Amino acid sequence: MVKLKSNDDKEFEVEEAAVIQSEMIKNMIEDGCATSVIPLPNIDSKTLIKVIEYLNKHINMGKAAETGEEDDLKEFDEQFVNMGWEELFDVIMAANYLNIHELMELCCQSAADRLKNKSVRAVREMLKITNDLTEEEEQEIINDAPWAFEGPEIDDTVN
Amino acid sequence: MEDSDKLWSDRIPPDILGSIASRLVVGEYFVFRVVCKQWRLAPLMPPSHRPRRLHDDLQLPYLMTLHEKTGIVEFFDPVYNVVTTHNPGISKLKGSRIRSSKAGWLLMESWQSRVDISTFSAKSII
Repeated sequence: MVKLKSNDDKEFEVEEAAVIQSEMIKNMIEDGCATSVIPLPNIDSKTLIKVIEYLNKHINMGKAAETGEEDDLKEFDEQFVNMGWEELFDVIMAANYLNIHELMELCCQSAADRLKNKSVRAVREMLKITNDLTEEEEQEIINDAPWAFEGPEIDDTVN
Repeated sequence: MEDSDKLWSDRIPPDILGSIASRLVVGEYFVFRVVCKQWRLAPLMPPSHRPRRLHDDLQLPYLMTLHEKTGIVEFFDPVYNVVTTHNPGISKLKGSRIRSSKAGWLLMESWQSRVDISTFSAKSII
């Protein structure tokens, strides 16, 4: 078992087979630097719990194809990314820091899927982004492809 | 969390933003670039499951289908296996046919006039 410590001083025990999906921790273990608790100063316990949940579920991912558990994993992934934008941001930053490739892919794809067909206004509101482009800069991009900003498929709702 | 308003504009690293932007196709990418300065500058990256090669910097081709009667355009992205439909059609393209394509431009023929149109930015020279 490997012990991880979040930045709010909570400790979690994780099976080595699960935690080595993190390239960062795998390297630490290989270099013999994981003998005691591994502190993770960038990750809070709420986010770490989510990440560990993912690691435990994906522990036997290589075998999933053989045992027909692929659908089960897919369903888990869909449920897993069903979270708010702030939480998704925290999980992405944690996956980036721990270098968990598959989790990064899953989260970035989820972010892209949520942005599809959304209006600019809706994206800014959902992600709490203040527009800092000048009107000219904005218009320049719109003029390149005015059709991308209109049409019935553009979704202006915030959810 | 403090400063939660700037999570997705200032605190998100550019390479992660680029990884998200790279999964968008055609029109979605234009919308992405108008959101704010950081998003406009996000670097586009090749999908990470492919080995990085020198020519990855080149723009990959889309397969474009134009529906003659409606002017609806479909783009098929062979890398992500995604079809993006531009619906409703571009009215100018109704009744047009694609005759040839080169260097990101299409030579179009319609009963009204000849139109050269750039596939990516939909600029046209009539």
